[in-house]
Amino acid sequence: MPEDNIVQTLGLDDYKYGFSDPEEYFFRTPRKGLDEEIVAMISMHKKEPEWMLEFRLNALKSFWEKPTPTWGGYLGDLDYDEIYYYIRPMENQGRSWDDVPEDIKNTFERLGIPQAERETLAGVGAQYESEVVYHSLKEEWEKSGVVFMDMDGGLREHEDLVREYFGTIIPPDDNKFAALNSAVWSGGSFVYVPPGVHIDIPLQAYFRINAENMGQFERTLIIADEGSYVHYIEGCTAPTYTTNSLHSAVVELIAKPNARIRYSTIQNWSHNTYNLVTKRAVAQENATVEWVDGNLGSRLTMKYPAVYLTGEGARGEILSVAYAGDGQHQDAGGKVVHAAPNTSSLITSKSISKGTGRATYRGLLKVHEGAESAKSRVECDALLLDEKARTDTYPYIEIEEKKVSTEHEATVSKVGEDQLFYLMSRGLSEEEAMAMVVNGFIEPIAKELPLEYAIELNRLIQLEMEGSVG
Amino acid sequence: MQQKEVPEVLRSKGISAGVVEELSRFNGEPAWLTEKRLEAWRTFEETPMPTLRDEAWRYTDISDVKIEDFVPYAPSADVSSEEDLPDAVQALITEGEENSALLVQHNSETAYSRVDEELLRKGVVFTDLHTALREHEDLIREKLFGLVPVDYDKFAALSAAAFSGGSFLYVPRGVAVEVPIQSYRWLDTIGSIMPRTLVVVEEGASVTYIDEYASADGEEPAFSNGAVELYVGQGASLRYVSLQNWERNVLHFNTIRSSTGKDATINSLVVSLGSQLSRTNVEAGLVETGSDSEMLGLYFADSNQLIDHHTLQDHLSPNAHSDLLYKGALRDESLTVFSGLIRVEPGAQKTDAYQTNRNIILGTDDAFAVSLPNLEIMADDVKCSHGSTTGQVDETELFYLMSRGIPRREAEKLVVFGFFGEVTSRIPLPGLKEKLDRAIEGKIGLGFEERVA
Repeated sequence: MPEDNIVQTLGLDDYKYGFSDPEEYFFRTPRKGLDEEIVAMISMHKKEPEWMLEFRLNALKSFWEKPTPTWGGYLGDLDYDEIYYYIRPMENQGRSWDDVPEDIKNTFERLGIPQAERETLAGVGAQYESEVVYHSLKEEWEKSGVVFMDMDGGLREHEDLVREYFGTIIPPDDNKFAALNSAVWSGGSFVYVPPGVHIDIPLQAYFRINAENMGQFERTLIIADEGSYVHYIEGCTAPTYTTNSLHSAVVELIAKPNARIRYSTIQNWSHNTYNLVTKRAVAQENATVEWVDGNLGSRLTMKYPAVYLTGEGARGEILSVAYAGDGQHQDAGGKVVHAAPNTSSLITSKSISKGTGRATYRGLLKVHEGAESAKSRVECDALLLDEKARTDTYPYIEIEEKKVSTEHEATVSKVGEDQLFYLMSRGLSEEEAMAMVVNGFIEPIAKELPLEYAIELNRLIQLEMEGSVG
Repeated sequence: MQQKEVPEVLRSKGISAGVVEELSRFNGEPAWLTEKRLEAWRTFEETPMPTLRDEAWRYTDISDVKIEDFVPYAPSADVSSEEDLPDAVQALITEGEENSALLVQHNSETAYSRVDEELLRKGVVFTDLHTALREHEDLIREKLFGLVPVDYDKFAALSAAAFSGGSFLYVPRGVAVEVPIQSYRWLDTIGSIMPRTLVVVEEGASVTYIDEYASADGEEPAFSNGAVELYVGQGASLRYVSLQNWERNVLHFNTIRSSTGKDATINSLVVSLGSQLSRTNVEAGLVETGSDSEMLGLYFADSNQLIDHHTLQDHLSPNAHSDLLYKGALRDESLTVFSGLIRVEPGAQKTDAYQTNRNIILGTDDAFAVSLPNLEIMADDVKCSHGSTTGQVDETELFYLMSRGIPRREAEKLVVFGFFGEVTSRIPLPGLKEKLDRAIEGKIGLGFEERVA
């Protein structure tokens, strides 16, 4: 299928305008705001074991105790009392595509999960509002013992596994927003890949916020057992509303010896959403974890996917691309902690700031004593498209070991007149030329994404570039 | 040069508003300055002591620093000729750069100063701040605290409240001073030293000025707290060197800030070798279009030293250029912090700004290097980049040298000299370079497998 047709099919043209279905709910907390009663209500409604309720209530205490970060983006307008912390959609888990309610299907259709793609998208755990409503998994995976379900289901059916790992990579008191998520989490994915199993086709989940003033607090836990491989794709889109929304997820990944996890995200939350997400992975002996992280939407994103290299020979890679348009602040980046010998890491960040947008790279590279022969490289490139645009780079580099090689580089530039001139002399309009330069700039990251995502990314950039010249 | 009896309150531990007032009265200062000192004292009192929770101090633990334990003022004997200065100070002078003017601050007081006839004829002024206040009050009133204001941070507030001695250099319009001007700060008593440097280089003038800090070995902790304000006028040129080589009983805090006029140039070099804990803020304000700031830094930390540099290249106008290179070596259990920021303010188009920090860790797993090279860019037509690397001595370089018959220890030394050579080769001051080479050699000592004795 030619690219243009795919774009049509995906309905991407509607993305930037947002859309919403009539709100019909099965259950939601009786009031906005957060207290112990609300948390208990959520837990009770989900019929959770006692320990999870305790976990939630302890997390709530941490949330209250933890200060709101004073660094990063402006959080002053975020009103925790104006948010519904739990909404459960009208229908429960669908068994097959046909069981999925019609209006939700319509939403997916417009989001670009068409029938045609379902053939290749082996499993779809899609989150509508706060709960996974649609879920399918190929039979051969079930046979090989792969678990891919929503987090609530994971807690019900694999309680021991969940209890062993849940909150161990990101403890509830890690930061204010991780604490908030831990208190009110709902939905998200639970993935377990048994030893030696390679899942060739990416696991995919779409998330979507669809109720005004509604927070979404999904929680994902992925365990890749020894020698296994999994690629998980999380995509977010949200319709545009006028008041602030909050998305605060927690994602924990565990890559056991020789395992490899790749986790790809493109977030395109509407421009009034606060996207405050904690993502962290542990890579054991010779394991590899890769984060591919694209940030296009939201009003403010604060997200720094992390890899802790705890086993010898482990590798971490973070690819981050951020696009900050008018009024947006993308405070993104990555963290790598080398805690074992012969570990290696690479962080590549590309950001584009346009209009009054602000793109910030914030990262940490830490090499602990004893992490001999650690190698790390951090590369940040920023492109500025407008006089009022802003870009920042805040890389923290902490080295406690002498036998290391660490490098950090960053460059900032604008689109060169000569680049534009050359393209325009070939008959491209200035707008097209600009879009082409920008797409070329993010190409190293786009090529790491599955095809449909790469197209989506390019198309979104193109849409954003419309009217950017002249 | 004080001949009067120093009041008891200045010679006792602790500082208060009363002490600040007494200090001002003792120096016979004008009322506006007394008021300014008291204002600074109030700011100091209102400002909480920085902790590890403050971003600018997150690696630099100063919870043990008890300012109230230090004696605010320590007198020294006046001397009439260089030969009467302490031997160690004379050695510093003879081993250093050739100079055309010289000022020695011994503890809290100016012990000796000399300015070549020729400079005086050209209208160059070089005195301590108290003399300058008597002879050039209007100029001092206009410039002092202009670049390091009382509310810059807690230590700057203290400096404004309790400074004494210090130096003032004024180079009139169009005057080129060929031979460097030098001030030495010498500490040989328990207590504190709080000098301030004020340099005003008028339009089209040029000068090289060096602040050097050194002390006699001591057991009791001592406290050095300074502020340096450098004004470089239109088309003028200033080369500024700060060489900090205190003994280990000294805690050193210093803030160096410059502003450059249209097409002006400042070349700074900040060297930090000594003291137990050394925190230096180096900030270049590229205030007018076409100005240029080269910022070099060299540090070498051993045993359990903590050496911290915070730099800022503040581009406020278009077409300015700044280039920063800070290189540091670490050994033993030392900790170094480099935090650098390039800030391009809105409208500062055609900015060219570069920043590089390189660290080398020598023969230890206990050292800790922190590098924070930051950018904040608010204009689009700019070229900015920064880089940071941390690693050990390159084994292939060592191997190459050793294959030529050079013993390992010697080879390591050569590699470290080569590492710092990138900085020192950019300083056209042979005397200073030699001094640095000797200091680096001393730091390398017997090699990296053994602690510095």
